[in-house]
Amino acid sequence: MTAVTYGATGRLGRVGASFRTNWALLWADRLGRVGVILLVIVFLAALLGPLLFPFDPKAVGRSATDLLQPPSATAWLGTDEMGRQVIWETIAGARTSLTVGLVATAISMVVGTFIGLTAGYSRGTMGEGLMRVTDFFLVIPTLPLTIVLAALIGQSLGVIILVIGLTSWPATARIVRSQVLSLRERQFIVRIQSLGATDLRTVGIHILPNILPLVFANTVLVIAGSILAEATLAFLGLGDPVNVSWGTMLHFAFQSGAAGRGAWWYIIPPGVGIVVTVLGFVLVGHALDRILNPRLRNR
Amino acid sequence: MTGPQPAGEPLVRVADLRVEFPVRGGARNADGSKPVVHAVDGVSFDLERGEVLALVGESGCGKTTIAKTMVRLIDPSGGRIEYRGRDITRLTGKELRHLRERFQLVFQDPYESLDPRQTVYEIVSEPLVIHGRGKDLADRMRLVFAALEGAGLHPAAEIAGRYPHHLSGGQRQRVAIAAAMVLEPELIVADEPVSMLDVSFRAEILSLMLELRAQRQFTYLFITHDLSLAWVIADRIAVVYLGRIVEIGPADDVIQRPTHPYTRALVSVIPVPEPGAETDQIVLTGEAPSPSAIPPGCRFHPRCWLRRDLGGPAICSTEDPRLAPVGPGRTVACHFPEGGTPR
Amino acid sequence: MALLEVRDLTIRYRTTAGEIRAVDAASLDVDAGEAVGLAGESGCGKTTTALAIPGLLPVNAQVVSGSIRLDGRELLGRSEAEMEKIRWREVSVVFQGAMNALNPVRRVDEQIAEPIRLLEPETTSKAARARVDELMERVGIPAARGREYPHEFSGGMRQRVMIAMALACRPKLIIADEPVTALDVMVQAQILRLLKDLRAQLGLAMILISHDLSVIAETCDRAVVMYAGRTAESGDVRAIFRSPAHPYTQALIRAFPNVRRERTFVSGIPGYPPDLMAPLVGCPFADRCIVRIDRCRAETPALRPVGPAHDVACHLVGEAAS
Repeated sequence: MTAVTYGATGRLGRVGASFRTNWALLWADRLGRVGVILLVIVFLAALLGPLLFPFDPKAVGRSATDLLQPPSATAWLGTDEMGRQVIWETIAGARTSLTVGLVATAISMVVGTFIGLTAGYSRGTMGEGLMRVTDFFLVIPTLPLTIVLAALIGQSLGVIILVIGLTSWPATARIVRSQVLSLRERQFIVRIQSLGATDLRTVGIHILPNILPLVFANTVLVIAGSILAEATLAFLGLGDPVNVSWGTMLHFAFQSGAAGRGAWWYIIPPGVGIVVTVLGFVLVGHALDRILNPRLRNR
Repeated sequence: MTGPQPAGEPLVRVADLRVEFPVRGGARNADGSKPVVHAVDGVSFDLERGEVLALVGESGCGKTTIAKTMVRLIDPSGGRIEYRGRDITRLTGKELRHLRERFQLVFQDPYESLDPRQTVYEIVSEPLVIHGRGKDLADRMRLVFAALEGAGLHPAAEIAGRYPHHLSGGQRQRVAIAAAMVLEPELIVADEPVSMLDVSFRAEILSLMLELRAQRQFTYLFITHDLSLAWVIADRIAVVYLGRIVEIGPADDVIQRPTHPYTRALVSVIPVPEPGAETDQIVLTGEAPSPSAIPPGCRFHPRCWLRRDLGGPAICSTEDPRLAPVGPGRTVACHFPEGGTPR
Repeated sequence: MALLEVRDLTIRYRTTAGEIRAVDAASLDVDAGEAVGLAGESGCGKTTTALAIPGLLPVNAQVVSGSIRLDGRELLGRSEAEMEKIRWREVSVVFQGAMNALNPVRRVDEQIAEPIRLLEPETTSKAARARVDELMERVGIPAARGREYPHEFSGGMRQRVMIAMALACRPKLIIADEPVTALDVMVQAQILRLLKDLRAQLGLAMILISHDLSVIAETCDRAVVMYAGRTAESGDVRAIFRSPAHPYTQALIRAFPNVRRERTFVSGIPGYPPDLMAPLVGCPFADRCIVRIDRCRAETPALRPVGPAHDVACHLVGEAAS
């Protein structure tokens, strides 16, 4: 065996290999495959759509007849109450919704995992203290917090991301903590401590890799939740008025009475967008859970 | 941690070791004090260099706690453990780390004691990395392969690249032994190292341990509840009951001529692969009391058949017997060690 | 006619990776009131053989051939409803790790009463109470402790509860799967003595599954030693231990220390058990056998008598040796 198998490069190589195996398993899982396909569609739309067909919020309709028009040859999904094309809005909205979902989740996962790890591994007051902090954030209701922050800082994507991040990390922290609590007592951890490993080493090299699969599966589900949360907040009027997202589209659709006027082309596309994206993440998340979980109990 | 020891000194001297744990959330005692579990209640013994000392006893007797305290996984509440003339119960920081190189632990469950996410190489090299041994990767590889070969795993280079779940129970236990060996320790504490292996694979692990003792002058503290196993592998056996050593002596002596009534009862019920060989069994009733409620006087007296036979002498429930010699290299903690002749 | 007759039982497990030959032509007789030990190491098929009797094999297990007769009645092929009438009432099981099989949120006396309530619903609660009290007394649990919960009991006491449950409907045969494996040697002695007394008092037959030959030597009248799904040796326990004929049995006995004899180091068996997914060619022990000959790799030995009440499956022993 050459030296490259051992040491840091060896470890990276093995991470890559396990990634490929898991990917193959995900693709083999029926529902997982559906989820992947749905996500690919959404991501392609979000990434390429605005590049190929940039959405100009100022391209408003010129006359009254341009407003709230049903789908036609010139406007595939019709127009909104300002005469803008719904199809470009929907594609642009994909980008916003995904961005908010991913960034908020990133914050949530990093904070949640870090706190969960520390709370689970520390003994005594530190662990307890962190759990009380987690509980505090757990019970903060999303809507009033958003309203307060929006009033203080102003409505923007940043506020939405902040709120979702702040209110969703506790759930992750609890899951991570309970997993760390059970891992901490396992014989290989006790053995490594008896060898004189520092806490940093124990957590970083032994505990973290053993909870990462769980964290990863959980992350995907949190993304779904974040996207839904963004849509909800935006629909209620707390979204960023400048950046179009599916939630804001629905908000303006209802505000302008589109529902009453039967303008289904304005409501259905963003709704479908949300459903497809959330479903995609949920299917992938559950498939990952199925794949990664039995291996957590390695024998 | 100074230089070589004078010959004839024990490797480790344990004196009046005590380990107590508070009972969480329990009701207070009758006198208002908080209940305490006396897991180890005054244990003293010497561990001679190169010997295999077996600590035997039933679950909850404290033998595993003693083992963990020896390697400072648990901190004692009292007493001394002397190694190379220093009391290791007080060590911290760098000196504690040095101790960890000298005292290693091998665990019971070969499926649980290895990190499933590490390769064999990483598992065995980790002690080297933690303690800064081995100049570079090549040097560490050399040491790891040598340890693997020493533990009977061939070809070392090929096995080093595998994950634990690709190995059998016996092979995993060899990996655990290799990881314990790689730092060239002086003392290995083995907690039931073969009880989870199939019977036909136990002998090879036990022979390996004895071979390593001969080649590398390891000393073993062997923890087991299996008396016949201790009889086969140990030089001396110490019988533990409720946190105290009640009898200690050469292995064959303790098993063939047990003195303490508890030992005599245990030995009488050891099953053997020979139908009809059971002699008069002394089957004790009930189970050992909780270590948070240790009986007064001799801790074994409520279950002691000898005390009953002798008509319930008062001394058994009032005075705690100390370990006292009853023969060459043998000590017993009993007021009537010869089974009737009072001391 | 024996109480239980198992003949040529062959069982396979279907898994995603292939088919496992768990049991291959195993035969077993248990007379009324007799204790038969099923001995062997992990994966030898002893648990599968025994659990086939009350029909408690997992879904992916398939009984390929063979017969199991209880009191002359064939058990294989019966419907689940029919088996439910037999389980617990004629054959009951004390499972491995049984002490962890108790419901933590129900009282112990209620759990012992459960088989009676479920299987003999016509029993009045007064009669059921009386039965539970009687059972607890038989297994050595003080009556007052019936109101406690499982976590208040020690491992040995919980095992007694499991035994009481197994006896609740007065079966003729008890299958005990590693009943004392997780227990300390003194508690083990207590439980084994209890089982012996119960058998004497109730005329109970027992199949004791254990990897511990010493336990089998101490408690059983007859024994069956299994290896890789096949029977290696079977017969009267004294015959098997005094003059073991199969090389595996001999090696296995040497792996257990005997404190009543001279102090010798235990020996092991080099090599590994065969892959149960590969087809069986010759004797399954051939690879690890120190006395193997060419014939052992080519021909699977059949179980043949080598003495009165003593059968062996080995080419080098008994009638087969010529």
